[in-house]
Amino acid sequence: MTLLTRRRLLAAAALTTASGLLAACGGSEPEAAVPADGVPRGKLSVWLHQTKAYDAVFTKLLHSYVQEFGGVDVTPLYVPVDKLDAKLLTAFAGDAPPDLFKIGGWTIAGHARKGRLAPIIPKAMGVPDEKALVAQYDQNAISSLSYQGRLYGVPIDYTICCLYYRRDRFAEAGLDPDKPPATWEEVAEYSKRLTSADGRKVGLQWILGNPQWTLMQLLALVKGKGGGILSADAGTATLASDAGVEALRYYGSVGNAKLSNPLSGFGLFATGQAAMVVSGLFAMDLFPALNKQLVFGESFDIAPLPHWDGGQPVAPAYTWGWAVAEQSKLPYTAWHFIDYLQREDVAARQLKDASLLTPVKGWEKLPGADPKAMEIMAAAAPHADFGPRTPVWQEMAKALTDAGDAVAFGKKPPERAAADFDQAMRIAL
Amino acid sequence: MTLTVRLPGPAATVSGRGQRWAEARAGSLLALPAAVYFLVFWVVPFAGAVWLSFTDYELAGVPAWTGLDNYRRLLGDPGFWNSARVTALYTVASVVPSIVLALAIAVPLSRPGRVNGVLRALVMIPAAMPLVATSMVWSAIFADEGLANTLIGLVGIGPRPWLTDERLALWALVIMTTWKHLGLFVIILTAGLQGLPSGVFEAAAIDGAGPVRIFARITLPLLRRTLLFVLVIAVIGAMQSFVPAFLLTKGGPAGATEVLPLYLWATGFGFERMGYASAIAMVLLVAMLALSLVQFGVLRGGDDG
Repeated sequence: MTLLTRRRLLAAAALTTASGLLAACGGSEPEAAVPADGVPRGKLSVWLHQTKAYDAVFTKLLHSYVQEFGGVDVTPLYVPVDKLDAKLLTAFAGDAPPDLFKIGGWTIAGHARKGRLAPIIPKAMGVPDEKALVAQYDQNAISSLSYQGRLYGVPIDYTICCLYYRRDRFAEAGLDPDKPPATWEEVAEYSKRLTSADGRKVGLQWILGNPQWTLMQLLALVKGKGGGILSADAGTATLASDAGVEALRYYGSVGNAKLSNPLSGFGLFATGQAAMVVSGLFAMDLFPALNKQLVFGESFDIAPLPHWDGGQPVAPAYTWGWAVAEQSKLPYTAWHFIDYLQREDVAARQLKDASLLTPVKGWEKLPGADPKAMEIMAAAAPHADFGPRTPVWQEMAKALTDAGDAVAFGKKPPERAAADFDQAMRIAL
Repeated sequence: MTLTVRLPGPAATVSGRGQRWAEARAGSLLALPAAVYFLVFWVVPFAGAVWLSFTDYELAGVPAWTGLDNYRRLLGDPGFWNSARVTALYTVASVVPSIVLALAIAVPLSRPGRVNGVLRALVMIPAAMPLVATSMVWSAIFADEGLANTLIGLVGIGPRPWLTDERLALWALVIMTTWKHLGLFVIILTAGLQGLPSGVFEAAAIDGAGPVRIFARITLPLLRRTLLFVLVIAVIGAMQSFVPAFLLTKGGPAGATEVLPLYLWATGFGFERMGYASAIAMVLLVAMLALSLVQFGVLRGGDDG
């Protein structure tokens, strides 16, 4: 019989502890991608950005899903919109991402390239293959969520930019509120008439300092002039061209960059300091929330995004998407839940209660939204432009914001700002 | 009754060498937790950052060795040079007035008296406030209808967009950080002043030296070491400043407040270029070390007493 010495006892204890620790660190094996019975189960974590209206809609949806599929539990985390990207990034870096999350379509390429996203599971979405799923959506919108031919998300919160204008400010300035400007030249003309002597009230005010909005605003101006921000293959920067410089010059010529509001141009529009702003569908709810006296159709209205006189219409667009983490142990359940969120009746409810458009095929006919807004978006849809698709989107948008802001604040002439943008992108691309 | 304690003689217990060895072992054991802490939380991350600065690492996969590429990239990066310029301006603009003001306040406050004691406590309040809370308070002060515009309105100046004018935004941050750090510098300088030998001042007064002469010829030279300490922590603090710009201006408008730590953060956590961000961190570290050495060289040698 072997005596149990102190050394052996310690070794056995160490081995037991180590194996326990390893088991805990390793966790269980991921469940099969598609369960044999096709029934979703497990505990999902979901991250999405906070919006008062949508959070209320989402919470109800979540409860009804859990009620319908008893084997699933869903834990949501509502993150402020400007913090969501950083929170997701740190979660990815720490190997602890949520199972599924709402993500800006413009960041899909960057995350997919780094292997952080799980491709869709068609079976969980009730379709035989990816092609069938794509057919259910607006082609422009869903294709913006793919990377190198694989689909990594389904679209939600789709917007095509339009022009918001204050009818009351137009009337005060002697402009016809039923005839909003149709071209960028008219916008400049109207802006002159809408600008007060002290510059505290302006016509069009850009959303400054915000990479996503800067990109969309400048995209309309640059592409409308026949230029581009990046080359077609997104391999080189092309802002330092006649079109780019002209667009930047125009960008710096309207609005007053020094007007301050915590919500930038959105806030200035709500207070009436700005009479026009470029925004998306979500702003239909945002402006009355910021200023209770604002009533759509009475004090403010929308119009198609202007184009250059004689130029091609450009309709900057974006979409958010639902995506699943590559590390999720419940990809089937995650995609199943996403499919539930995308049902047509749910899409209608989201549109009605939160002005949040799910671009399912035939979204133009979804009930719930203002018919005028849908009509404008539908007319612009063929020209929808999601901007350059590049894995270094964040760097590109930041460099473009630096260029746009520098011109708007009069720090750099447009030529220099455009050249600096191209130089910054030469390093990044 | 008398209690007598007899201490054992060295020869009675262990030899001198043995005792030294025992003391060294005990010392090492006592220092071990601090050494492990230093190693784990300082040396390893630092070595990791140095290594990362020579790699291409995008928070995914394995860092790829790129040699000096990140450092070469710095040379042609307009964003880096803008941030370096903003940081230099911010450092000079916030450190100089902070120390001058702190010294001006510390000299009268260092004199004894109950009122001075209360004032010293009051002046410390901003320094004790969390920086995030301070930033929130100052964002309200700099708002259109805030205290800053009310105050300048009293002297007939119209409202200013403090945080959205690219010529004013950096100065708004400077005002806030000066207010925030002034109290700490006052307390350190007050302690230094109170430690100076009173005899020297009495002798100077007897010799007929005036207060300005005494301050310039006696107080300042004797206070050199304290001033050096304040200067070094002020410069390092200013060069590392992140929170005010992050919370008040997000680096804007038009990059006017994009200090280097903010650019570093955006590069690392916005653009996911950890290797490049580490290179920026190394450059910042070297700049801080160089400046600290210069400050030591210029101000070392004084004696507070």
